[in-house]
Amino acid sequence: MWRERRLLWFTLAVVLLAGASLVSNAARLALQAQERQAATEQEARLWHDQGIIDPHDAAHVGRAVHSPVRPLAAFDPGISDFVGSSVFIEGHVQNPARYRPIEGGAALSRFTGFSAAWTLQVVAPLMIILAGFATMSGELARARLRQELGAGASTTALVAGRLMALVAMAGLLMVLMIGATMPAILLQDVSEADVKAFAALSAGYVLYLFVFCALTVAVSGLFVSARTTLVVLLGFWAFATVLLPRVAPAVAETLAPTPSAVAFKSALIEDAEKDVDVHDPKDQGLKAFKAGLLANYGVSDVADLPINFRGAKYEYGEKLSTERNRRHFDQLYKVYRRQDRVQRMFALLSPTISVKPWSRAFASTGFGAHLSYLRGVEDYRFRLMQKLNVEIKHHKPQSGERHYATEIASITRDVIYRPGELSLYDVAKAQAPNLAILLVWAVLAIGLTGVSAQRLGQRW
Amino acid sequence: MRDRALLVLLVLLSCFGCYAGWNGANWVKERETAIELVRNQEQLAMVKRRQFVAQSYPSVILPSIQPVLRPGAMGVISVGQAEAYPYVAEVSPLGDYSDLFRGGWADIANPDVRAAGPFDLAFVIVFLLPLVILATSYDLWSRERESGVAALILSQPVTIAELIAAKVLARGGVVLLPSTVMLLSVSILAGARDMMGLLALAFVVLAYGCFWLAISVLINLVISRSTAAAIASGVAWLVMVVMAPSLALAAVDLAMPAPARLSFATELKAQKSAMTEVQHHYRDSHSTPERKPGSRIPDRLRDLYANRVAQDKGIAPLIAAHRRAESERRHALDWVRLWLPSVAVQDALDRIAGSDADRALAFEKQAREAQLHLRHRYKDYLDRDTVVTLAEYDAVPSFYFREATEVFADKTLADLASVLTATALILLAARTLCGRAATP
Repeated sequence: MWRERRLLWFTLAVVLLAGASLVSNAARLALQAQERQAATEQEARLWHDQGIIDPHDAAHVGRAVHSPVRPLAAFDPGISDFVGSSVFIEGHVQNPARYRPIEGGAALSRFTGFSAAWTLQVVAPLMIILAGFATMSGELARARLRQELGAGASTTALVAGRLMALVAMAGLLMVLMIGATMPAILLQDVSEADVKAFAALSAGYVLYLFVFCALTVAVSGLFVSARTTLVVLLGFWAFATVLLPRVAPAVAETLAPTPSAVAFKSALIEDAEKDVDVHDPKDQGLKAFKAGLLANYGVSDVADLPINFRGAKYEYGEKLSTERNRRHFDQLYKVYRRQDRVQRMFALLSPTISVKPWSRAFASTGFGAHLSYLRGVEDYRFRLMQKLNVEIKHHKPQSGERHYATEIASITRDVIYRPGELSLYDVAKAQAPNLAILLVWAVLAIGLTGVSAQRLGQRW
Repeated sequence: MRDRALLVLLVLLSCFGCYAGWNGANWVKERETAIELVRNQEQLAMVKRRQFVAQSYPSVILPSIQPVLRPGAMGVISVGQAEAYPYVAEVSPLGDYSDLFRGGWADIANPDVRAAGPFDLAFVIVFLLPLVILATSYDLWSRERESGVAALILSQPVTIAELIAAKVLARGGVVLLPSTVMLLSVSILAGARDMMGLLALAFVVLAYGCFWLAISVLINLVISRSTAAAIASGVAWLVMVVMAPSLALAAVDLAMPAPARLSFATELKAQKSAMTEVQHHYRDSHSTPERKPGSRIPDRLRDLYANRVAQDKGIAPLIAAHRRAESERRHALDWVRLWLPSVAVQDALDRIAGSDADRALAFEKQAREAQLHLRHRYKDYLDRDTVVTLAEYDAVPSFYFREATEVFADKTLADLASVLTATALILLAARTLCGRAATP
């Protein structure tokens, strides 16, 4: 009785707290959305107000492109606090995103992470264990089981019945969580794709919680003592939901180390120094480019070219630097992917490691969504910079002027930033291995429940 | 059975402790390697600029320095806030506040890995040590009550308080002392060498361990069945280590949100751009009169210097307001930690490790001072209209971070006091509940 009553209160308290966390997350997201909107407008104003200047100066003035606020982040913030929210775009350079919300905090900032998603990943399994560990173990449960078996019920039917009851309880918890989540999500600007993503995300949690229900019933049937059952299940819970999700990334980082920012930038600079420097007239690569261009146009001096050589060399340099930067960043993302693969191996020991990326991916708060934002920004940066360079290329400076100058706003008006978005199909495809692992867990858990039923049958 | 379990748990804790210590040592090594790379880049840049000094180039050429914040002497125990603040700055005489940390890129580690949190000794102490203590003491007294032995024991001439105190001391001796010794040994093996730091670490671990033993006593006095006590212990851990700190953080975020950094950066850019335009217009219409006889340092550098100083003054209120808002939020976070023992312990460990926010902020302040110092030198050369000589160039002092010398600083003591006060309050509550402990 103690357990049931207090468990109910605890469940309600957790649902309320998760709801509160959801509301606070939604409020924070609304503030962020406002801030980013205002900053985007200010950035656009600054870009347009540059007036008539040398387009290459504009390339160095640059502008910032801010990341979108994802409505489902209220449910699962994922890595939102750990990635930069703005990329400063400029000529020659691909800058990483900056202004991570986690920056500038204190010791308390390390305790981030409580969210509705976290409740389903960590607390809900605990509740399932607490509600179900004594369904078939312990003196009372065993006595009741004996009576039921004596009345002619099969062990399989009894185990299946208890599993269904526990699944119904977990389902109720899911409904409560989703019920608490919906208003906070709907209050934001959600699209149809977000609703579909939320449905897919919820399906993953249904499978995940089912695994815990089946494991709880199976272990409860395998051990006679309720105390032993509880110790085994609590041990598994602590190991699978708390410990491994922390150990797996650390091991992944050990096995596939990420370079430090300093080392990464230094490698980039070193590579750039070996490449063509379009700002250095003595550079051999630039000289070769110039010779090629002159030969192409059949002239012997840049002054005789029908185009502005300065624009042509910047266009060429931008192409080279973009390819070089992309190569380095792709190398970095390759390391991330190796780390993800190492982490995924741990999912065979803990279903939490599979459901986490599943949830983040559909909430658009995983690295996939961030990467598509970064790629969208980089694509925009390249188009914008090349637009400026081509503009210089096609216009020679007026006599008496050192450089060609023009109104930046009008020449870049048609270069539009298109945010990189992943389709649900892409997300689902990328998450297929995690779904497969969750299914394996479900099958194994059902198998263990079958073994448990069989052993109960043999015992009586 | 429990004794075997105790041994298994201690071995497990030791394994995790060793892995965490190894991780900590690796983190320090990587940070040192990155700093070495920065130092080399700084040297190369200095050599390049030195060539211009040697040619007596008509300008004020001073070295650009790159201040760095090295990990603390006890850095292996906690990554803390070290990844959330810059550890490299770029100081040039004419740079402004916003240039100080612009060049140094933020952390580029996999955000999925960062979001999981570091697996360092602080994690083992704050998260795992309580689990081991609770797992080995959740049935401190409830087992006797459950089996009916409690009444028999209490019929002897011994008070319940003495009995439980003796049990707690025994359990503390068997669990907490070996854990403390293990954590200290791992820290030393990982490279922590500061004696005062190690002493502080031992104090923190013991105080935190006592707090969890007190929780265990309270649970055993309130709950008579060991299964229920196990559940209550798990819930207590979940609430105190995970949920309460996380909710407290959410509350601070709601009541005092972090100042908008995007808006600040955009506003700063807008102000600088507007001022630059005004300055250009002014210089266009008021060209600096040519000196007779002509100066050795071109006057455009004086104009540039004057522009920078004016710009700094112009943006100072905006920066001050932003920093004030950041500081107020940090104070709120700092204040909240004192109410949450797990956060107070995390804070104390960060401070002992030198990976706390205050040390990072001190670095930022000292880097800014170095920037202003270099600017004053620059102005001095402009005023004297002389170029920098090689000897003077070489004599420009490097940056050295001035550490706060005390390990047991005020805030670390406040953390310890907070944990000890919480323990005392729980024991006081337990004392009043002693009467209930005799009931089966």
